[in-house]
Amino acid sequence: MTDNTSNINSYLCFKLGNEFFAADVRSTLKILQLSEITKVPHAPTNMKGVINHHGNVLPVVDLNQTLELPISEVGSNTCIIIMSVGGEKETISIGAIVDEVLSVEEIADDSIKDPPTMGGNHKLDYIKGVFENNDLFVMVLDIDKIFENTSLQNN
Amino acid sequence: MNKTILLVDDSFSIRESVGFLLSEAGFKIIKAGDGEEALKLFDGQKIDLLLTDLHMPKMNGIELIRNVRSMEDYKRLPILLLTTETLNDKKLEAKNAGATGWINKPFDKEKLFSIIKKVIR
Amino acid sequence: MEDFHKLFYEEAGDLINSLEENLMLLEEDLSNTEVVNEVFRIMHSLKGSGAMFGYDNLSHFTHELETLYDKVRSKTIPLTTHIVNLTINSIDHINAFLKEDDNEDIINKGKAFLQQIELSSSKDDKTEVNEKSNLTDNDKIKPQLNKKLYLIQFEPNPDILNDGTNPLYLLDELSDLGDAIIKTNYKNLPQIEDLDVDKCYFKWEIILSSTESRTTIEDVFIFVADDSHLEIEIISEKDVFSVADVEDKIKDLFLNNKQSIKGIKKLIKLYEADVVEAEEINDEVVVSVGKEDTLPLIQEAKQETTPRSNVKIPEAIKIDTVKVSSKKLDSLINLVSEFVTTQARLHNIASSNKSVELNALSEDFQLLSRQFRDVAFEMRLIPVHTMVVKFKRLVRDLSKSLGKKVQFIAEGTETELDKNIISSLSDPIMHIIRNSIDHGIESPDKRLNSGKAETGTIKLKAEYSGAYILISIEDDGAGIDQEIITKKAIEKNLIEESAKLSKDEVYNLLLLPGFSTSKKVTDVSGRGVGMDVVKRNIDDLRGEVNINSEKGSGTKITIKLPLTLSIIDGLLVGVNNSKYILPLTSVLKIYKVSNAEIENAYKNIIDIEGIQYPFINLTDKFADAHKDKSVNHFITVNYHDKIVGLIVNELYSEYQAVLKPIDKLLKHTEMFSGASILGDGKVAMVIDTNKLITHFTN
Repeated sequence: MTDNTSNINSYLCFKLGNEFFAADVRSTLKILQLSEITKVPHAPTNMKGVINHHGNVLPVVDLNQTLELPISEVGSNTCIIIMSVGGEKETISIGAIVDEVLSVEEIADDSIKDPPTMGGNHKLDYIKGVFENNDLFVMVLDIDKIFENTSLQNN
Repeated sequence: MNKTILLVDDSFSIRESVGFLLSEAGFKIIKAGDGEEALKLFDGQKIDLLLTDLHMPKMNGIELIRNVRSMEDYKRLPILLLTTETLNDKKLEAKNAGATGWINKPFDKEKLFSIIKKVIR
Repeated sequence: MEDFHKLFYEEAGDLINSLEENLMLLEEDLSNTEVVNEVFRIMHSLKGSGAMFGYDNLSHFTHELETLYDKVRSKTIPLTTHIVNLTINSIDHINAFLKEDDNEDIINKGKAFLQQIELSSSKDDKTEVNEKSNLTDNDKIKPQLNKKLYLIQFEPNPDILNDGTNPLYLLDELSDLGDAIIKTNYKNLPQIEDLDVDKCYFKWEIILSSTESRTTIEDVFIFVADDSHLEIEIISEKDVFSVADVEDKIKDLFLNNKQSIKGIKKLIKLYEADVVEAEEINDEVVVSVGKEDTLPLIQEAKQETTPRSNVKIPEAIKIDTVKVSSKKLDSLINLVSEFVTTQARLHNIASSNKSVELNALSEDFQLLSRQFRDVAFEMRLIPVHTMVVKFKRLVRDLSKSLGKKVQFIAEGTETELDKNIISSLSDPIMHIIRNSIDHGIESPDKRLNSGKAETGTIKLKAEYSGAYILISIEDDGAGIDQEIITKKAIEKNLIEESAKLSKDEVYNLLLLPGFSTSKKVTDVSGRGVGMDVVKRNIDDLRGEVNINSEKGSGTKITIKLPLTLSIIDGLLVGVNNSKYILPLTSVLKIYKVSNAEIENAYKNIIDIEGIQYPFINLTDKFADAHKDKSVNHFITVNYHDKIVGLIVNELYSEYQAVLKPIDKLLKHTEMFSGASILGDGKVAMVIDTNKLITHFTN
């Protein structure tokens, strides 16, 4: 029995290295050009520092590093996606450095398949699912999970 | 021309909520927390309606009404008592002191306005 | 009105606090009539406002208590300790209702409790007559679809104007109910010479066609009915006016006095046959005809030349305290923060601009903004005293239930703290006090045996210390056994067996998370479960907790908190091309040191003007690619009871930093208490010197 009206959500698609990822648009707040990041001494390695965003001080992380992917060089398309991360208690805003922002795609829930269970070099618990878009394999990230763990990491 | 209502009640939440409803309806609102404070606001100020609670510290509603009525400028001021009292005694006392009428607590927005329009337009 | 229930919720909290305080007083002196009145008033308030804002069950509950205290204050029943105790217990129910007014369980418990109340107050005849106000009754009566014709005769008491009634408004109201034909009767109007402007000489006859019930019409006159002659008569059950021309005809006959009322009634009866039953409500509102006739006359009568009376002009209104909603206060604080930031930007521009005038103006602004900031932040300060009532109650209840005798003393409670901090402190302190009574204070026997007074003491003290406030909770109980703690810590692998810890360090082991897992608390005399939670709460407030104890004598727990969280006076410094802010309150003196001196320093100690200072070289510690070795400024700061030096490259200026919170993600970077946005938009981290020094000396 197929449900004709499956939920359709919007996903922001971006590139990390040579791979494609997506995040639910509801978790993404803004896209910023790579601006001056103030370093914070003695922060974990994936945290690059803080930025001033509309009078708020937000931490900025390198998403490649956070996902334990090879570090990319800063390119002309590198930018910061400001994401809203929700814990059990509160939501905070974090900037994540990505290599390139691609597009926003509308994907139906039933088009998203379960993530592959073997192979790959990703931390699989961060991937909610995968979908195909224009012959490309896009991995949907569980933003909350990624940062839930990161915050506990110490130097 | 905007009418001014003086709202006297020792309950902060009532002052704020009722005050809000009344000012939304276009009245100018002055508030006081007890009879003594309220009385001081009557120095020749233009007040078109007095809404007052009964039980208040320092000076209660009935005393306030008596005092107001004794002032020449406010002899004819419409005064409504906000009261939880259902006993006729208190209402009679209020009447004797010179209140125009009363509004029974609890009241909602509709009741509030339906009674107010009896005494002020 | 229920939309405003949040306002009531806050207010109820205050009322309950006041109630507790008063009941404590009453406990000590049953004859205090003023307090009895206060208790009555509070119950009355809770009852009335509760009902207004949707807390019906709370209202019913407190209504009973209000009745009880009404009887007490009218001396109908005597006030006993038992009643006071019951009332104190009722507070728990009141709080429960506040949280969930429609919870079945809570309602039932409340009912059971109220039965106790009934038993203790002698059963009187119910003097309360629960009269339903006429107005509520009216709401229930549905307007009938059929229009009726009423004849209303209204003759008010001549003195009716004396209580603020305006009969015209009543006529207006009547007109709102349907189609009205109003006739004024000025038979009673005396000659002009005898005219008393304060009297009403008119009476009115009104024919009203309306779908409303008689009760609704009676309600129009509810305030004046007692004082007036009022007759309301239905002269037709049918919508006679719907018949063509009838209305006009009747109007003519009625207003022009062409026919008596009797005649008009008969006429109407004749028209009734013609009426076709109306199917819908005719809700046309017609302004009363004939009102124009009545107006000019009344206006004349009203022409009073109120002499500028010799009413004594009361002195200027002196209101001592103002109640402000927390939301408004928070908005104000936010605006102040923005203001300070903007002023910083101005300052920036002014410094790089040669204009003397501009610079002077900027400085003036800076002074002003500082004062503005200080005043605004002071508004958020409320005395510690507000928390104390709760603590007193806890001590009383807990000591009773544990069979211990404890007295609670509070000192320095006029000391003020930011209101947000106060609400966050309440739980941790309750916890500490609970521990103290549970594990600290011994039973009366034990105390006597060890030569102590039977009654134990818990003392809460609050005082300022520089930019901090110190709150200490001290008891004269059994103290904490150092050995037992050390043993337990080793058991739990929190420390090495061979570790040599100072007394201070041992006691502070209790603050570690690992410690609180013990189920059997009794084998650790002194502090028990949950101190790590307390520490966490205090950490969140950027404060510190310290435990000090002496076995056999007692325990003292000290909480140190920074006074304001948001804006601090800072010193803007540079380290390796990045800017940082040091809180001025920590800074003592600034010296210059050479690279040679730093390199030759033995064990990180430098001698300046004969005094030895240990130091931390931030250019090393905060190193990244850049390592600026140009200038070296040596800044001495307070570190607990020592003085430590921090080395930086650049010294910029004094800076009012609006402290921006940094989220949990950065929490691990404890040495920064926040970040600030500089005039040029860049970010500067704000250093917590204590935490920084601790971090680098470990």
